[in-house]
Amino acid sequence: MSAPAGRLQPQRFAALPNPVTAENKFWRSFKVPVVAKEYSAITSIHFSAESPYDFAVTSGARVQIYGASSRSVKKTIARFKDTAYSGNIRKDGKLLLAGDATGLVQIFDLSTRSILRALDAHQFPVHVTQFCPYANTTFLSGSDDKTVKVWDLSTGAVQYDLSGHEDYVRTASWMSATRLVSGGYDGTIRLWDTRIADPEVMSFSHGEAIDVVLPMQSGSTVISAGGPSIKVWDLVAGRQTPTKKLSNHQKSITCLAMNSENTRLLSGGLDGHVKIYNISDWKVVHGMKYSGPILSMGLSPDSCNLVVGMSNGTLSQRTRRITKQTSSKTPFLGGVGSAFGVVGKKKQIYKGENDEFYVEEARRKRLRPFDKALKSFCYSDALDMVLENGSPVLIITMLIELLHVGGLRIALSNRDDLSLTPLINFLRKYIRDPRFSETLCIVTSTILDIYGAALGGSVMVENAISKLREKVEQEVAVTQRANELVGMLQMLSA
Amino acid sequence: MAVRSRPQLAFQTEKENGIGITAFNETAKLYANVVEALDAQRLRIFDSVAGSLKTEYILEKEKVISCIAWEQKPLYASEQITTDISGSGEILVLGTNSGEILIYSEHLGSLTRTYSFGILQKIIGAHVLANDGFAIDITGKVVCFSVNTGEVRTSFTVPSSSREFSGLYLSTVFKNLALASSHNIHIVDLNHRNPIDSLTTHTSMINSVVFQYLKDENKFYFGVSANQDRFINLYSKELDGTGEFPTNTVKNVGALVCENEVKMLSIAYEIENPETGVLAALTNDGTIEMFENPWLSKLRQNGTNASSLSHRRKLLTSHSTLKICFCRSRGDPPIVLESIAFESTDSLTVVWKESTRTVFETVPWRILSSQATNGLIELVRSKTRLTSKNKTVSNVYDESNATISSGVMQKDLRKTEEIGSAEAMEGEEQEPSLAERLQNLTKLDQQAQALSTQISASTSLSTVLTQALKTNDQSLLESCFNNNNVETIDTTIRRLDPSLAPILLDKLAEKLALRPMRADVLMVWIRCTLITHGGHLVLVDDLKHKLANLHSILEDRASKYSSMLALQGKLDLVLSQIAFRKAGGSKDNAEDEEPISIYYEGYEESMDEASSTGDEGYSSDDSVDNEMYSDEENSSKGAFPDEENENRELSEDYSGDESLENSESE
Repeated sequence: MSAPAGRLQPQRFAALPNPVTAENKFWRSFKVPVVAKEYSAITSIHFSAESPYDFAVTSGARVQIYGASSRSVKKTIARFKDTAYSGNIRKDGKLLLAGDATGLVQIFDLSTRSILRALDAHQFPVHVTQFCPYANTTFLSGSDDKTVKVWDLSTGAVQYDLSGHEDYVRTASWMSATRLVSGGYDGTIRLWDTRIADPEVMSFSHGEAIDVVLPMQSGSTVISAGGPSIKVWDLVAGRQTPTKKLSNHQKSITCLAMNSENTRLLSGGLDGHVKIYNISDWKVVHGMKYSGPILSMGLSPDSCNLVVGMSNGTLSQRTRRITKQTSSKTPFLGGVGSAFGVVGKKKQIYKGENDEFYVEEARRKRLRPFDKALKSFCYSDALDMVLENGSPVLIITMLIELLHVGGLRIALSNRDDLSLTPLINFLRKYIRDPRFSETLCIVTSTILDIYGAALGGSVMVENAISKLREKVEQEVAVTQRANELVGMLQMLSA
Repeated sequence: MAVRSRPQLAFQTEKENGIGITAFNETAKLYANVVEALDAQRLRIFDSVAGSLKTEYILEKEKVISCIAWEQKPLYASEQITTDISGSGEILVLGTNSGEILIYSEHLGSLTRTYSFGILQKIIGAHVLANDGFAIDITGKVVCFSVNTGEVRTSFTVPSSSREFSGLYLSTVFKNLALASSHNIHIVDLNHRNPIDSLTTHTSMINSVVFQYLKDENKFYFGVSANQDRFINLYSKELDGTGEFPTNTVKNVGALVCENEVKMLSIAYEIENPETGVLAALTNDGTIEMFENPWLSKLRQNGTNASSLSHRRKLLTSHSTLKICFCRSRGDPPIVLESIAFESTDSLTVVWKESTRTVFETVPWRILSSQATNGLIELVRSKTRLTSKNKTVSNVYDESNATISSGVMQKDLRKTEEIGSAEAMEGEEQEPSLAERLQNLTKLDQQAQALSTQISASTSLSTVLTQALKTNDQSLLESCFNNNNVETIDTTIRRLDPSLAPILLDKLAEKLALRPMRADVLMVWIRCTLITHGGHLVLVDDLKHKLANLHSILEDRASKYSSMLALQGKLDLVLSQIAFRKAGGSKDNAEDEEPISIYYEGYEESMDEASSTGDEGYSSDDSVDNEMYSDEENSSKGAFPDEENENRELSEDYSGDESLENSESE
């Protein structure tokens, strides 16, 4: 007797291609958006290197420090006479550096918000300032007066005045304690080494006004973005042609960022897109759309917070929730529990003496109602139960099982219009699915065999059947075309 | 209570661009409204009892409906509408902006007549009483026509000082008595084409009129409400039972006051007991105010002559006896209602919009009136689940619905800027000089030429598709594949870089596997790509490997061809059998057919063999639909006990199944 034993195992089908990659999943896990609106465009976002990774947002004539966990403003520094630029937090999280449109470079104590230094050596707006991540007392500033200056914090004096750019300097960054890279509107990237007398070491021509340069951690590669393209420069080879050119944006790229593992590059542009590249092959692995043109972007060092600033003053923060690993009971706590007489709830099972062999009882999952019906040969009931509230896969599984045990005809016969219509509706819904169609064809044929023209007795069933026919006609047309296409493919790949 | 009630027709007309044109039929069971769809207006008919949409009819694109009304049953004898127009159901009359009258049959579900008289402009009121149709246009031109033939019986213009009319209201009691409304009310005798009376009633446009005839007093009462007016004026007109309508017998019998501006009126009264009328007024804020016995003024009740004019006035105006409103929660502002109508004197049907859904509710107001506090019944109707579902949808990231935690709303900020710039603009505005104008003209010409050359580019999606393929952007790709215009697909693929073709095919294969129902469109894409970029694809090395995915998916699909075709054949057979049987074909055949077997005494043995082969096909039928053939079977039972047995054997598989089934289910 071929009675099905136990639970019905769901039918397995060939896996469908999954368009969602692991990468997509990861970047989509940045959700829980919080949006703040500022008065004017957000020109810079800088994350503190220190946990909890607060960040400085520069917009209009103020710099705001946002708390990473609360995602709201913690401190506001508004002691600027004109538009502020490039708020930058020192790696220990104690000082903030910012330039402004008058050319003043100011350093603030973040705990008291008092001005520690106000340095007035630039004549034109200072668009970029950065603390040296390798030395606490050094920082750089780049200005529209075409120069980059390296400062000593303790004395407030300019240590090096690096001139060579032929237009505004809009971006600069430290590569090591003595080496810098800067880019400007003259379309060149210049590398500086402060140790030598003639500090300009190397220069590359990007071709378009550069908005942002980003040196990679390895120190051998610099990424520059200007216009709608990103170029990757190899410093070791020192060639004048970029090793890679990425043109995935429709409009100017305004900001670049790296994740802390230095494996992914993020770029944001005026087209409102943030694109994420895998730096091993420079392929876009994910993209995100924002509501406005993006001017600035920051990814927190723990890769939990993605902050994007837009030209309409919108600041969007997306946060990834890290699920804490539930730590298993520490041995210490267990010890304490037992010491205080807390007894574990686990029941003692007699496992026999040493010389006895204990046969463990196999645990069985409980049978579902339709399993029971199937077991007791109530095929029709089993099918009805599944049809009522089962997933399509379960219904298909049931139908296949019925076919195997030879109960399909029994399950399908003796039905009135009310019990037949849901089945026909299911057929109509899924007969076009290539995974199911084979089984469903057999089921449909069986129904037609059993009932034949008697199906016309009920208006409901007749309607359902004629709708089913429409679907089948469509599918016939599709399969016919599929046949044609297979022919085409054979011809091409022969 | 076996009292027949006869509620008046409630309707509402004249709203810009068709929104808000609604009508209940006389029994308040059907509700029609006109909604603005993307390109054309749609007529929707709802069953107000079940609360479901019955039919939706898409009107022709250029037709803009300006008024709508259901057929009314006159109380006087009249010619009926032919069934090819009405479909023996109710009909709906629609007036358009261009002066056309459309007749829609609810049963047939289509427009059955379109009349255009050529003399009418925008129609603001149209009615059908049996075979008599009436229409009035915005200038006050009235046309009476036959619904069956479309022949114009009379047409005339209502003489009036006002430039614009708002509606026409017909009596169901008296033939040829109508009220035309503008700012004023004109009582019109349609037979003599002349207005009997002209009353100055309101300062604004009249939006609703209700009336009732009291036989005992031989008086005709009517109530009038207007836009932006809280007062409902009540009048009575005395009739002299000669069939002619006397002039100058109209009296103002009072006024009803609502708390808000009145949107529409509805009235109901019992035919047997006409004194007990009830009038409902729907106000703009969504409150319904009920006035019981509206015509019975306090003046008459008291029976005394009021001493002063102000006192008289006070007595003439009366407030509502009951207010009903629907709200989301207690104390909230009421839900704005679309329309109301009396089902009977005791219950009121109410319609409102719940986002895109239309919700109906019947209010048994007389029963509820005991629960009223301060004369107000608040019925709490929380938002339906449908809208709460929308809420979960809004969790999807979107800047527009995200919570703003700090800063100012950009929207408000922009407003202030705009005002500033607008002010600045006013100062600078100056007329352009002739030279500037000429320059502008040439510029425009150049732009037009440039546009015409770029049309081909705008019909293709190649830039979007290229970007989507390059950046692996699923949503962008999806937006391309959603396009099912063959021409667009063709141009898009033609403009696509051939090197992207393998990637495109791969993506198409993925989509095809995930969404088998969309195969129609996706296969057009695949076909176009193979044809257009076939030349390049041949050159790609290892193409077989690269397109293995697509190949297997297509092959899998293609392999279903024969079984699907067979199934189609089976379905065709069964469906045509059904059709055949419905046409009565099988019965005729059964009668024509020779008897299956004839019993001859003495030939039993030889007959049995012959009949058994002949019966084989038939017996399976028998077991399936016993009902159809049971008679024949019964008749044959007595005659052929042997054959009966054989039948059983033949249909073993069926009957066997049945018995097994029965035993198991027990």
